[in-house]
Order: sequence, then structure tokens, then C-alpha cells
Amino acid sequence: MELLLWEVTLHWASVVLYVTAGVIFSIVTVFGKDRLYLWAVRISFAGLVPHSAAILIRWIASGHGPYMLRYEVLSSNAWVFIVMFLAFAAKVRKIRFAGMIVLPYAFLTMTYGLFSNPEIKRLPPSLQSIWLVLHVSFYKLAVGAILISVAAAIFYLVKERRGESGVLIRLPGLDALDHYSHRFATFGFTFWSIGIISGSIWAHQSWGRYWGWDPIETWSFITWLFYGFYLHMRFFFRWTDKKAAWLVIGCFLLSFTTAFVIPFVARSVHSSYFT
Amino acid sequence: MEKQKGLVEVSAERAWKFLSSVKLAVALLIILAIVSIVGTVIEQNQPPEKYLMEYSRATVAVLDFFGFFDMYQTWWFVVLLFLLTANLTVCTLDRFPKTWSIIKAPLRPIEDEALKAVPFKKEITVQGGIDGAKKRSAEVLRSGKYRYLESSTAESTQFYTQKGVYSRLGVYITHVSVILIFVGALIGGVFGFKGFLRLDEGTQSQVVSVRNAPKWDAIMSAFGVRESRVKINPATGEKTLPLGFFLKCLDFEVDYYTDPRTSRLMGMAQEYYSILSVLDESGRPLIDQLRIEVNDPLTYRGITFYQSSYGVVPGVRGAILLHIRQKNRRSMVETILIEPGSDTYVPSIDRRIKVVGVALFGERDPSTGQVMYYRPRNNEFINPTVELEVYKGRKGKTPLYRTQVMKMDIMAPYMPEEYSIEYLDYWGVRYTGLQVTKDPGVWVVYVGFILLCIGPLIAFFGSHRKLWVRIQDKKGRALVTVAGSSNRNRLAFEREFNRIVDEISRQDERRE
Repeated sequence: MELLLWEVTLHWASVVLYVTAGVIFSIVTVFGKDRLYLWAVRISFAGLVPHSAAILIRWIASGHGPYMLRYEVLSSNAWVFIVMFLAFAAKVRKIRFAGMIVLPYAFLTMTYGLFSNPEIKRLPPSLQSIWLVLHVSFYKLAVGAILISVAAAIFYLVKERRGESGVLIRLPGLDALDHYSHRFATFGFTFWSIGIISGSIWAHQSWGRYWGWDPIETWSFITWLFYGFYLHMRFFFRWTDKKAAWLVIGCFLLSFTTAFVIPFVARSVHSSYFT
Repeated sequence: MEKQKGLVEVSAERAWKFLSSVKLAVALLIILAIVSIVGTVIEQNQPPEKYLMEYSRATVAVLDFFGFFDMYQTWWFVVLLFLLTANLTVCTLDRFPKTWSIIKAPLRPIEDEALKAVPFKKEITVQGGIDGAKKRSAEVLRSGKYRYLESSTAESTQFYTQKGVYSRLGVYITHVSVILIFVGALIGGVFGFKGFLRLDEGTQSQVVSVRNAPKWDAIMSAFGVRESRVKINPATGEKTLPLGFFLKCLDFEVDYYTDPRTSRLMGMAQEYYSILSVLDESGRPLIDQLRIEVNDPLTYRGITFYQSSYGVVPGVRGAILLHIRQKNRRSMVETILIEPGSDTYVPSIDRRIKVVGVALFGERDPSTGQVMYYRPRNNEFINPTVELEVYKGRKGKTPLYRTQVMKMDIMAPYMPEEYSIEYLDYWGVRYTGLQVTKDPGVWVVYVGFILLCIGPLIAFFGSHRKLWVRIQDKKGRALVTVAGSSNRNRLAFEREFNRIVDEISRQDERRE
């Protein structure tokens, strides 16, 4: 019990730091206060410290990685999204604007997870597989990339509507936003494919079938088809501007539905990770 | 005179044109996505009563007519998948030759006309003459890991190079992977089957009950080539298929989680497994006592048995297996078997042991040593506990002592004599549920999977980049023109291009 208290406290400490970082990222992006950017990054890193500790404590106590129940899933998702964003932003300075979307998304979903049941759940036999680890990891990476992609798409639409007026002036140009949105969508698509495949191989090892039209499985496939649609519309029909941005947002909503809405509404072999 | 095209030729051409269209591809992607959504909104393969509770009678009739209750197997859904595959195949065949010729085309020095249209271009003047500029450009290209070619005319010298030509194959690898997955699934559907086998502990079977009978078998029997191997039980409608060998379940076991803090057993299975043997017709073992567990199946002659479920066989008494161990010679162990409620005489100790009762979940109180019994959910054998009475000799009337032995015990059970009795198994009362499949197409699917991981990586993260560096003499100084193009990820290439231009001019400054 004491351990759980530690874990929750550390989680909340990281949420506070992420909220602060998120606010600073927004100030940087909206008002172009470049000097503050480094502080936003530092505070994000500071948030990762207690967050990592909390995840580690839980990992050791439960004997398995953070992939059971909303509490674990949303916390580890947030961790992956923030690490991915910081890593990419370190390499490609221009995508720092995505912090204004990624950080709030991460801490909001994480907080939602913190309010749910934090009881430790053991892994049933079918979930004890290396493929589970790959399956889960690649989906987390995919959503991390999709978040940056959708952030670029949102800012594309905002900038397109507002033009070069006062605020948001420091955003990259429309071409660059469009480029990043596409680029990270391709990352997302690739990881998403690998996520589907590793799940398939795992299902085959467990039940002798690699595809079973389980609702979440099907929704994952639907999301994949829509990304395929987006990539083809972009390449062959030159949907690069507003239409592409809307499609990227649509694809994100589909991926969100797949992971977090369908477990509530449909009976699925995947339900155990979220409900 | 031009030859009139025949009807066949015209329709073949039309079909090819239709199937090679990208519009068809995007339309199919959207249609497949939308009908798949419908398939998740309407719960699949439910009993008819359930649908009637949710929808009106007329709606059920319409949905049923179009097969929406088992949508992913309907002919029209399969046709959609077929169309997508045909579309992908034709698109690939249609476009690949052109891409291949681009890949194979030798890179040439750029001409003035082409230089105008090239997307990235920069001119710089460099001091130190032609030779210096040549040397510097070559150095920069080498340090950027470019393998360049050189060509000279009277007025200029060119270095030209390209990288990532084969990234153009990425999109084909991706598309071929999808085709392979579909073809593999098709092979599995035609030549494979899915079935289920329930084996009680100690029993064997040479047939498996099938849900999806192999289509190939149905086709062959329909054409009268050979008799169908599928037998239908007229009473139950159950379809069975012979395995060609016997599968025997020797034992089935479940291990349960213990709480790490209290070391008490929890009712949740950690692992369950079956010990199986494959036997030929004469009972000779072909595979002897192989343990299968969840995620670790057994494959024999292309048929795979997956551990999938378990349960208690109704109306069976089973047997208790016990170990008798001498206290002074721990290696002396004897195994005895007693049916619940009856007794067995053990000559080596001159005692009669009676099994008075069996409980599925017994647990000892750590302080008093008292055994408590719980009723587990779903008849789980969480910690089988056996009540024993021990009598003297064959005919003893009153028990010498009573004791309990259990699977997992936190202390030594009461054993007053020179031997101890240990619990081994409560055998013959459970069955193991095995998922049985034969899928000869799975390897094609797996090759598709591998390609689907590789294809997008190559397609999205590689790019075909070309670079030309032209050096001309301009009144004793060297005029260097750098030109380049990339088929993908222009922004990254722009950075690379600017870096190269910078380096060629910067090295110049450092020298002087």
C-alpha cells in the first residue's frame, strides 16, 4: 500500500511539471518567446524523472510492463509521447510547436488514468509473450508520431486561416507544417503497421489465427486503411494543403477511437488493457 | 489498314485499365473501411434471439439477407478484398517497368537545359582556379560518402552522383507484401481448416471437430474426384475430420498466481499446460510426452494444436495420485493411485490409505495449521486438498490417524509414522481444450508481414537523391554550379544540399 502511495505521489508530481511545461510551450509557440523554450524542455525533463520512477516501481511490483489497465496504459503512453517529442524536437528544432499539443494531451490522458483503478492486475497466460511487448511498444510509438503529425496539421489550419498576423508568427511556414504533418504521419503509419503485424503473429501463436475480426483489431485495420487513403490522395491527387491537414486529423481521431473508445463499447479480446 | 480489335482484346484492355486505376484503389480503401465499421457496429455471429432483441424483425431480415451478421465471410466482402488485391497487382505490374528503367538508367552529366528545371541549384565562384575547385569538390563529396563519377569537356568538368536509387522499390515491396498476405490467407482458407478438440485427461482422439471444413476437400468431393474426408454426425450436426494419427492427453495442469506479499494463492491462472503424445495406429508414440502451453503449441504433420481452454469433465470421479516417501531414505518413493471415497493397501508400509474427501481449494491457517476450504469459481483446481485416513494392515477397523495433504502447503502435514504421504495429482477429472488448425498459407503471410515492415521503412525513410557539381573556368576563377534533386523528403535534402554548397565555398576561405 505504501508503495502505491509513492507511485501516485510521483505521478502527480510529474503531472504538475508537465502542466507547467505545457503552459510554457504554449507561450513560446503563441507569443514567440524563444528564450523560454529551453525552460519548457528542462521542466519536461524534470517531469520525466518522477514519472519514470513511478513506472519503474509499478513494473517491479507487478512483474510486468505497463500494459494492463487504464492507469498503467495511459501513464506509459504519456511517457512515450513526451520522450518522443523531446527527442524529435532536439533533432528538428522547427517542430517545437508540437509541444503545445503533445504535452497537454499527455498530461490530460495521464490524469484521467490516475483517477482510475490503480490495482495491480496479473497477466493471464495468453498475455505472457514477447509479442505483447512489441505489439504494445509499436502502437505507442505510432501514436507518439501521430500526435506530432496532428499538431502540425492543426497549426497548418490555424496559420492558414489567420495568415501572418501577430501571434503564432514564429510557426514554421505552411509548406514546412504540411511537410512535418506528412512526415510524422508516415512514421505513424509504419509503426502502426508493425503494431498490427506483431499482434497478428502473437494471435497466431496463441490461438492459431493471425486475424479474427475482433472489434479493436478491425478498427486498427480501418485506421490503417485511412492512412493508406491519405498517402495515396497525397501522392496521386496532390492533396497537400487543407484537405491533407483535415485527413491527418481524421486519421488521428480514428486511431484514438480504436485505442480508447472501442474498448468501452464493444466486447473484444483487447478489453483487458483498458477497462 | 488497322486491324479491328476483337471483343476479347477490347474487354481485356478495359479490365486492365479499370484495375490499374488509382481511383479504384482509393475507392476500395474507403469502401473497405466503411463496411468494416458496419461490421463492428453490428455484433458478429450472435444467436438470432440476440439480434431480435436489438433490431426489428424486418431489419433483422434485411441485415441477414446481406450477411451482415457474419459480414467478413460474405461473398461480397471477399470480392472487395479480391478486387483490392487484383487492383494492387495490376497497378504494380503496370508501373514497375517504368520505375525499374529509372533505377537502371545510368546517371549522366547534367545539361544546360536540364539545369534550368532542377529543383535545387546554386552557383558560387571559388578562388584558386579550376584544379583547386575540383579537388575541393571531390573532397566534399567523398566526405559525404558520395561515390561520384567524373566527366570532362573542353569548357567544364562535372562530378555527378546519386544515392538511394533502390528506395524507389519501397512502395513496391509494401504493395507486394499486402498481395502476399491476401494470397497466403486464401491458401489457408482453401487448403487449411480450423477446428477444436476436447481431450479428457488420459483419453485420445483421431478426429477433430471442424468449424471451417477445408474448401479444397469440398471442391474435390463436389466434382467426384474423391470422397470427402469430413464426416457429419447426423444427430448433432457436428463436422469431424480425421487427423491421420492419434493425439493423447496424458495430463493437464494449471499453476495459479500467488500474492507476492502474503504468499497466498490467488484464483488467477498464471499458466496452464497439457502433456500430449502423438501416437500412430498401433499405439506407438511418434511424439512422446510433449508439454504445450498457451503461446507454445505443438505442430505435427502441418496440424497445430494450441492450448486454449480447460474445464472439469462432468460426472467423473477421477483418481488421487499420492507419493509415499520413507523418512529415513528420502529417495525411496512409491506412487499410489486411489479413487476418491475408496482405499488402497500399500504393502511396503503395511497400511491402508483411504481418501475420505477431496476439495479444490484448501489452505492452511499459518498460525494454527488448521485447514480451511473455499469454493473456487468455475471449479478451478486452485489448491487440491485431500483428506486421508490411514489404517493398520489390510483389515484395520479404526483409523490410526487422519491427515490432509495438498498441492501447495505452507507447513509439513501431520505424518506421525516412518513415512510421509505427498499429494501428486488429482487426475482424470479435467479436460484440455485445444484449438486445432492447419494453415499451409501461413508462411506466405509471414513473408508478407516481413515485407510490410521493411517496405514502408524504405519507401518513407529513403529517397533517391541526385547531385551534380559542375566546374567552369571564369577568367581564372572557378565557377562552381551545384545542382540536385530528391524524389522525397525535400526539406532534409535541402539541408544536405546547402551543407555541401557551404563546405565547397568554406574550404576555399580557410585555404586563403
